[in-house]
Amino acid sequence: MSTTSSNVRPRTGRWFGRRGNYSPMMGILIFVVIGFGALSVDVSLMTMANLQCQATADAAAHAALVGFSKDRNSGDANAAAAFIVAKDKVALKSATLDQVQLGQWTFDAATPAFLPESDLTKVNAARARVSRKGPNAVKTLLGGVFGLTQFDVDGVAVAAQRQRAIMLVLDLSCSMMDGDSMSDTSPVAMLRQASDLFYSYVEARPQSGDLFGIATFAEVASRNPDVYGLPWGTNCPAGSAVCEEPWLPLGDIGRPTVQQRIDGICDTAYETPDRICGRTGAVKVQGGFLGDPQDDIGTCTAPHHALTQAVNELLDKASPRYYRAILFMSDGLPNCGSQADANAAAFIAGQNDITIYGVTVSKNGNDPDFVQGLVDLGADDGFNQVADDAAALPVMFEEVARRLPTVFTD
Amino acid sequence: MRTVAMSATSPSTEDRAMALHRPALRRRARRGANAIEFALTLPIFLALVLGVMDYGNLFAIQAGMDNAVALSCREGALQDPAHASPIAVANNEFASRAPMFCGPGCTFTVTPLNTGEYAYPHEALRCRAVRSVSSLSGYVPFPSTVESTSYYRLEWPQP
Repeated sequence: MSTTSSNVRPRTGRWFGRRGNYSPMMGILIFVVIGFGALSVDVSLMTMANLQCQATADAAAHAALVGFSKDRNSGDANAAAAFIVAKDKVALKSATLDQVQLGQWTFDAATPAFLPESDLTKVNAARARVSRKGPNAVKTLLGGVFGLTQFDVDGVAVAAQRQRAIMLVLDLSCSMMDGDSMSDTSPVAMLRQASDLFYSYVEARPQSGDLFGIATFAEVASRNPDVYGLPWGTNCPAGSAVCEEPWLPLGDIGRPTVQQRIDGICDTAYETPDRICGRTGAVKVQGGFLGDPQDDIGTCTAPHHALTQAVNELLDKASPRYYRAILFMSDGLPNCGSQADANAAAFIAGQNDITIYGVTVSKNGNDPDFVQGLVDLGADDGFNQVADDAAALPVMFEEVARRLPTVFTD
Repeated sequence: MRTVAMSATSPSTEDRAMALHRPALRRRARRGANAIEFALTLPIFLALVLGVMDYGNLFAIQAGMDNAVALSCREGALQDPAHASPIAVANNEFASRAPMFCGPGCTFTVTPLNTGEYAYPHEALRCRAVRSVSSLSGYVPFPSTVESTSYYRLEWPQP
């Protein structure tokens, strides 16, 4: 009875009769297994070759832009890119530089794009195409099983220089005047030194069209001496420090002007017995600039005027295609200004992708949280540096300068 | 009788051929063939499977190193030597990426090139990483080292 059950397979059935058939089965399956093996190995090879080709394209685009920037010559761009492509290897062999194009990169966060540009004065980007194709294609390792003996790889990269629009916002309140202003270690002397170093760094890495400006403050913001007394803008209340041009308006300016303005911070040539740059004994404390009595910007700390000036300058004179940033330097809490107004200015900066870098001197236990708050309100890449002594100002300014973008590769 | 008895213990060729048609005897006769065929095909199968594993690992290491070397070289090449050494910057950048792709025994060298064929306007930074590798299985031919080299145009004139 049980032998007729479907659970009992007759031992003379088809399964037992086919024992020992590994060889023919393996003979058939080996092609499948080899096929999958070949696929795995060669897909890995293709991925690696593509990555190497892209890396070579990145290096070629970078070289083209750096080569072009020296003398703004398209021939230099091609030569520089070709040289790097010849040196870098893609799957053990040199790739081919197919094309180098010069153009403009639109720093528009929504639709970033490269647009070829024939006017070399407007070029801020280079695009390189690199490949291994045709006779120079990459050979497969096992793909011959499928008849695939080689494959093409290519890479395209854009390198762009982004113009920078930078405003320095500097605290010249009375605490910055501690000690003898002519001393190398007085806060204001260190501030001059730091500002000079910062500009030197920007100057040494010129991106065509860079903009630079300085706003300073104590109780009010200082005004541009070139337009002294003239209101700036159409909706400014008369005499408003906010609406007047800052100490150095944002612009494509050169070293002589910048140097003049930096040197003008506490220029002791204008000192008089009751107006001295620094606070020594009973002498009147002054902040900022001494060239004209009306330049008296007071003694306490009210950063919101200058911060607003800086934000206005960047919004008015630098389009979003610029990398826009504010270096905000202060040594303490605003003791006569509105923190809310300063925060509002920083908030507007952040809304417009303007970065705020904080540099805080906290010698007397001043709380750096205020500056950190401004930095946090700005665009994401800002950071705050804190030191106990103004002697650290040059180092902190340089650290910010080093972070400014030069060439990026897309 | 004797003949019959002999026939029972030593079957003739015909008897053996007839007997193989009986399932039990046929099964016994092929016992071991599976093992032999399996033993013959196993090396090929193992070579393929372990080879895929080993070479997949090799390509992953190579791709990771290529990426780390290229990015480090780029960081160094962007550096103004007046403020920091491109070599130091590239080394620091690579050190931050190395643990993942370049373990013990890994060497990374950065060389600014500005003479000979690399004289202006072709100053470049060459970054090269070498690490030893070993087969996971030890079963397939395998290179003993992986090397990655990247060249980047120096952005700033070198002193």
